[in-house]
Amino acid sequence: MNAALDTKEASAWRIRARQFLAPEFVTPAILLAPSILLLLVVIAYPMLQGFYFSFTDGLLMKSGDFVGIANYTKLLSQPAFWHSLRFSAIFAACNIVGCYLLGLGLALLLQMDMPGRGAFRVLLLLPWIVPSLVSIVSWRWMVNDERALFNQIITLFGGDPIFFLSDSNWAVTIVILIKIWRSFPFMMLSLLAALQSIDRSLYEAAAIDGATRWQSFWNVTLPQIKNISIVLCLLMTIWSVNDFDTPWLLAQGGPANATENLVVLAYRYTFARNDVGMGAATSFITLFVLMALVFFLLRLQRRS
Amino acid sequence: MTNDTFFKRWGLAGLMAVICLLVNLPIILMALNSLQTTEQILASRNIIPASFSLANYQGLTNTPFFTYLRNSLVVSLGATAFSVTAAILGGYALSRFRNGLLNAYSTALFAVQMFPIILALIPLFLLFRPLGFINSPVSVIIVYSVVNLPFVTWMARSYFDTIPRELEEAALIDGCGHIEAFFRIVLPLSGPGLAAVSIFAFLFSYNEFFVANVFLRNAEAMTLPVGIQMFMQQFSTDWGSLMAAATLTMLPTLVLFLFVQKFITHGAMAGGVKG
Amino acid sequence: MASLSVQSVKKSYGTVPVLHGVDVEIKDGEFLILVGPSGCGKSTLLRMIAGLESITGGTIKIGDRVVNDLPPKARDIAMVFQSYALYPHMTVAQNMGFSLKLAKRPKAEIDAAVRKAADILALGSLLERTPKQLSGGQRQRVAMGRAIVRNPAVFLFDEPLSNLDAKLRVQMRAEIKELHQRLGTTIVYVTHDQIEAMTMADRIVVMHGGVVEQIGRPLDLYDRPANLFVAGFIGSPSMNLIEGEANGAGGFVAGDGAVLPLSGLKAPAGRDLVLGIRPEHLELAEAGTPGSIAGKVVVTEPTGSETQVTIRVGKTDLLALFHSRLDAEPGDEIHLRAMPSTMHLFDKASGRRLD
Ligand SMILES: Nc1ncnc2c1ncn2[C@@H]1O[C@H](COP(=O)(O)OP(=O)(O)OP(=O)(O)O)[C@@H](O)[C@H]1O
Ligand SMILES: [Mg+2]
Repeated sequence: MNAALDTKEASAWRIRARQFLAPEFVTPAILLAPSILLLLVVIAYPMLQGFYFSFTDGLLMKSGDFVGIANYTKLLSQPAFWHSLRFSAIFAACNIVGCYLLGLGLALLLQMDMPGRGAFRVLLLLPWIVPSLVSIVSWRWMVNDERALFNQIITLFGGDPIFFLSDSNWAVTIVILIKIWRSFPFMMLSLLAALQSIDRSLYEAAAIDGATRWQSFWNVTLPQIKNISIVLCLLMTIWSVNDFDTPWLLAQGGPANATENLVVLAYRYTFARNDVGMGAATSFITLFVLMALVFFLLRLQRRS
Repeated sequence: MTNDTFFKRWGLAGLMAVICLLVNLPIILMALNSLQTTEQILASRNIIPASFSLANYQGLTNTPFFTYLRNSLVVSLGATAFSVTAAILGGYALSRFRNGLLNAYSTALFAVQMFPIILALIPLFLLFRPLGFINSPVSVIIVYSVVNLPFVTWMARSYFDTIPRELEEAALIDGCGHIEAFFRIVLPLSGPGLAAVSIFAFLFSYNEFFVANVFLRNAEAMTLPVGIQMFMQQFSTDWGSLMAAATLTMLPTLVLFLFVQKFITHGAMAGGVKG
Repeated sequence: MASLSVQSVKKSYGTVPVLHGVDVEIKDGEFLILVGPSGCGKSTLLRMIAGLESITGGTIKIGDRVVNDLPPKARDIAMVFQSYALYPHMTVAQNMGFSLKLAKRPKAEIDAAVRKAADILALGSLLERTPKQLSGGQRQRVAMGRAIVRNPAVFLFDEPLSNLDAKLRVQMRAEIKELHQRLGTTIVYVTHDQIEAMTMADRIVVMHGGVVEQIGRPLDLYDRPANLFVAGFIGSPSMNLIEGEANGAGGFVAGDGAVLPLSGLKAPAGRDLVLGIRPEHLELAEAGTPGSIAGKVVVTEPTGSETQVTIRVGKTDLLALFHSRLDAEPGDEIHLRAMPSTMHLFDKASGRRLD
């Protein structure tokens, strides 16, 4: 009786072992081994280590002692943190809305029949593809001082020049504008692909049912791209919160800390103030914020 | 074609041309102004320069610009080699096999795509320093290879997906082993797609600022974005040189992008949206 | 050339069994066709013979060699795929010569072999084209050419004609059959088209749900289907199958009470039976002829050469196929008769043929 059970178990084990040794398992495992190793070394291990750092008071040059949740409590008591959180949220929200409106509008235009459509599509992708540094240099030139292009236009209309980069509100506005400019092409491209994959016959059916253009946009196009839109907004949210280049390159988080988002704050703590513990804690809070957002948006998608 | 649609089409094209011009205005103005000396720029501030000179570009020879350029090429080519190798292996595995490990790997790629890289950078900095990787292209190449991984893997996979399995099976029967079938049949057929994958990997690495800014802290090691950023902080008024450097930096990006732009939907959709 | 032996072969994907022990002996030079409904495991069996799928249990032998663990290239087989699987980046000649090139044969030999196969298949003028520049029929031929060039012990075909239009399919059917007569190579051929199976095969294997239902020559399957599945599967339109039981007085009582004459066919009384009559074996009879029954016409479907008629006997619908025209309106009464030698009796519980 017992022996029979044993052999049964043994053969089940052998089957499982054979499955693991089968080429269907071994071949992909070998193919993935280098990448998985890389992911472990560059992402997984540092992440665990970073998590530990967030509970220490280490410096860049000297590892520190365990301090419990002191970094987190300290962080949550700092106005600078709450300011960064608020700025990150505003930055992400404005970026998503701006990119979506601009991206959808241009995608709809690009979908129409016109000469040179392919060329326009490529040209509209350029802001996305040029190096972040280049885009910041070009924008800075337009807003840098009282005789920069924007101010020339303002004075042309009789306004007073604005010091865009030294006024907090204006700096926030400009950094958001630049971010939208840099990321709308991805939105446009993806929405264009989504629009082009909508079955033409749906529009024909709507037209036969007597729908106007606006109605068919509202009743055919939007529902068809809804899911993809949610996914895109999710990606945009994540990428906005993770963005370092735009705020840092434009004004290094300034003036004061007006354009300092969570990532810039974490960078500051670590590499300017030499406080690895606070930097790690800040970056983990960023991760938690992101995860909460992703969770929320995915729930939203599932519900619909 | 009726006159009506004719005007509509060209009207639309005109509108799009204006939009494209406005959207790209910052870059255009930068490129135009790089052809004026700083004195001219500061003196006139015309939108369209009155006279052109290459003085700024000649001036770059006295700056570390070409050191930065060399560093950028080393870093980008290294990261491209790694990324593409990983993309071919991983993309092929994802395209041809199904099992738990592959599902987990896909999820991991998706997570990397959204991962706040700062999280890894702080510990990596401390990890790399004793190894002497700070201020060395090695650190940046390693991190770029990982950052590029999701996009290039998805893109490579979408190419392998277009190659029917039966072609490989036919090759197996004709006398190939698995590896030979891959090299003789799959790789030649996915050639153009993989070329595009390589160029994208190169572009991403060449354009990247944040990671390089953390790891490359001395002027000898800096890539173009980091080097020019330093320049921008220090000589914020030398607009002529700055714009020339930025324009020159942008040039390879634009040229390469024109080669691969028709592949981009593949990658963006495969990565961002399907994933 | 070689015989092929499939001995209690099993296949499971993970824990899902797909083949439950298949036994087939294929003689040297035989043209064997596997038929069966979609998903019954035909392709799986063929791919196991080719070495493209692992073998979960049992033995496959080509000639005297057990090939279970040999890779495809070592099995001395050639395969023609449904999608043809021509290498898009090679010309027709390169496609056909690829296997010899991999075997590192001298170029002159490869050229000669390719040329010879091209002559057989009338591909001579297409050798420098790429697959993209060929029509469906031409691609099909190139795929066969690629198989011929190898001069294998066994040819494997997986639904090679299903991507062709009807007319081309008839033509290629004849060509493949001729090719077999000419080369004399053992062929295992998968199809779900029973006309293909009936016209080309030396023997047919009927599969269903991962088991072999019957193996036999085409006309044997038609004349003496071993069970209900084969009876229903072979023949088009398919056999009328009527459930009921024998009444002991030479009649068959259908489930709804209608009595059909058995015309001398012996049937055991007192158990559930199924009576099978092919539509083409029903013929018109004068009213009152012994062994005839009356029914009402429900639908007539003339195709020109023949007429399909649905006739209601009691509550049972029978399909009949007449080679003459029929002047009947729905609702008309007609009389039918079937020869006893063309009727089939099956046990309902086991599905087996009785006699
Ligand atoms: N890779 C696989 N993993 C899991 N199940 C599979 C796999 N390949 C085939 N099957 C299953 O095995 C069974 C037999 O498949 P097979 O392809 O042999 O059918 P077939 O008889 O050739 O059908 P068809 O006429 O449609 O080609 C099917 O039920 C199929 O779902
Ligand atoms: Mg099949």
